[in-house]
Amino acid sequence: MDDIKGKLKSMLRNGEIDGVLGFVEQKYPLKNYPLFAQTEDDINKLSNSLFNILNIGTYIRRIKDFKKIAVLVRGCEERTINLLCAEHQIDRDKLFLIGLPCKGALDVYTVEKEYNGKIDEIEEKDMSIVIKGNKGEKEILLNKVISSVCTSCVRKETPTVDLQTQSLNENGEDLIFPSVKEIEEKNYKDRWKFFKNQFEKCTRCYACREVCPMCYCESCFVDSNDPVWVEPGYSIEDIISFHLIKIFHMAGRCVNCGACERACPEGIRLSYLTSKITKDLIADYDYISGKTVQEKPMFGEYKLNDKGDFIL
Amino acid sequence: MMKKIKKEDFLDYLKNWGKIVEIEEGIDVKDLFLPKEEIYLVFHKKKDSVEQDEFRNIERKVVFNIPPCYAKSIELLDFNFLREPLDSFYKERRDSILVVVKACRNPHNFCFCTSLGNSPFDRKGDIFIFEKDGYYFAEPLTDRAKEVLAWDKYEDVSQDEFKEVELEKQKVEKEIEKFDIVNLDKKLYSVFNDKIWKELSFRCVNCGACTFHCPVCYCFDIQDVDRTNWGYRERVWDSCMFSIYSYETSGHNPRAERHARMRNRIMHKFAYYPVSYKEYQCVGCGKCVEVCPTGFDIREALLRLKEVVNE
Ligand code: SF4
Ligand code: SF4
Ligand code: SF4
Ligand code: SF4
Ligand code: SF4
Repeated sequence: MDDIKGKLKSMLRNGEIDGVLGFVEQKYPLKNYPLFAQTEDDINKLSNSLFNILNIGTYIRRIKDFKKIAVLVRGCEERTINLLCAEHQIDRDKLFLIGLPCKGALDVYTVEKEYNGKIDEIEEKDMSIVIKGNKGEKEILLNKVISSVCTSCVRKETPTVDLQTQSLNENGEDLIFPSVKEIEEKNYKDRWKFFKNQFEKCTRCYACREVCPMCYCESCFVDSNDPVWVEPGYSIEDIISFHLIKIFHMAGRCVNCGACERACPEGIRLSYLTSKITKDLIADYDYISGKTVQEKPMFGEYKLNDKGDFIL
Repeated sequence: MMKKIKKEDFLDYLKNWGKIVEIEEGIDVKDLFLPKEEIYLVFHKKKDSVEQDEFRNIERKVVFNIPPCYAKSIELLDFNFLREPLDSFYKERRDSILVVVKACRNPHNFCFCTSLGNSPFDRKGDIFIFEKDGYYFAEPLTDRAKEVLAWDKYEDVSQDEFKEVELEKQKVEKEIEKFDIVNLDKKLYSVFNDKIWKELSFRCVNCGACTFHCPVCYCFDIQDVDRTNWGYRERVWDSCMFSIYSYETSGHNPRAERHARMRNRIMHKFAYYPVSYKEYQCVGCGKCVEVCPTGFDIREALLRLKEVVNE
């Protein structure tokens, strides 16, 4: 990270960029936050860590009036930006992308649950994290606390960026989506029970929508009161309507970054939905969202050999 | 007067008063007092009439093991809803709840109650308890508490035991990081138009999770829900962090911008409210910090504002 920072600082000094968008480490509450660094001091604060739980793509559209900005991206964020460019939300020429290696993002709530005490410090190791606090020292293996979406990441590499910091052939993922398989194997009654249990916890705060880089509509269907598409309140059918409509809007656009799941204050496993559409699009259409800027969005394109078995 | 009562005995008395709802550590309590969804009325369309259904059935509850910060937040809710014009739905529910507050001995990383003048051992609620070797040291604080058991039958805790409670209190208070925001409230008005609000709110996604989980936030919205042939009117939580919260029928939105909403949340809690009512609209529970997906830390925000105010 340090050598990139040097390069970024000199770019800033030379006026090549207006600033750098990335995440800043925050000791507690274990969640790193986005910063648009416009000074060398601020650039020093940027970090790439397991605690970057959001998707940086969400924040690009917040920066107004710039000539060019640098953005630190991981695999899913690079694809997010490609998609946002393909959907004409941002202009790729005005971005300088730096690809970061990624070990996945932590599920902070699981970390807290696993430790169950007052955490003072977390040290990041190769395959684990070591937590220190009032319950002593505890080492937790990464695969226990990494977001489930990250364990079935479709592309950790960042082939389309302007500056690479990782080699491009390090991973040959086997895309198994274990969490989706688990649900698919249930019969419909158990499946309903599972989702009902999950969504009963929903407070309709819409954090999941707000952190999603692809949920950028100025006005969301669920907020509309004339007409009312989804009734307010907490009846399970209304809550599920919101989530199902949202996920349909996300099909082919979701990058399965998992930001929505990690943001949900109720710990609702939204990745079951996002991973399911990701998995189905790969299986049925060989489509991975955001691979390049040139590629058209899933629903922006029609191929004669598209599978049509869902059309009635 | 603190009494020493065997755990089982005490729990039996409580059970006789009402159904015990035990609050696990870290779980919100607001929903029990100000539910996220409160039905006002339910109606059915009949052939040529509309009938209203009976549906309210409120049972007596003992909300057990509330930490003192949340007990303080209930006092603040009471202040809002039990003043004139009194909220009858709130009152009916509130009257059916006995609040048993437990000394907080396990503060977490987010707590800052002491900075706001509160203590993890504040005597609040109807009964205050401290647990010790199979006993509760219990202190009745309201008339309602007196109904629960014949307190006179029980011995006072010994002087040594009382001292132990005090020592534990000091120990726990020391574990909580403390900062100073005295007099910040009035000064905040002077930075109303400062660019600090944009800086603070850059990361915020305006999801409102901080206010939904805040035990003191009480904003609500009344909605009519229309199902085929039946419907209901209900009160649901609302939040000033949402852009539609302040969206007016005219199409104008006085707080259309993100930073204006962040400013409203902080000003309501730490300026408008204390200036009007001499209390922060925050109890220092840290729940908002814990749930915020962007890790927005209200303590840091206050310290940053303090810097700006003093510049
Ligand atoms: S973030 Fe969680 S609680 Fe909030 S609306 Fe989304 S699923 Fe519901
Ligand atoms: S729906 Fe969730 S997983 Fe998909 S892009 Fe949005 S935040 Fe990421
Ligand atoms: S929870 Fe955090 S991101 Fe959501 S509205 Fe509150 S401060 Fe903003
Ligand atoms: S503002 Fe935050 S710390 Fe204060 S009472 Fe509300 S949730 Fe607790
Ligand atoms: S902070 Fe906002 S949501 Fe909370 S009580 Fe104040 S105005 Fe209402």
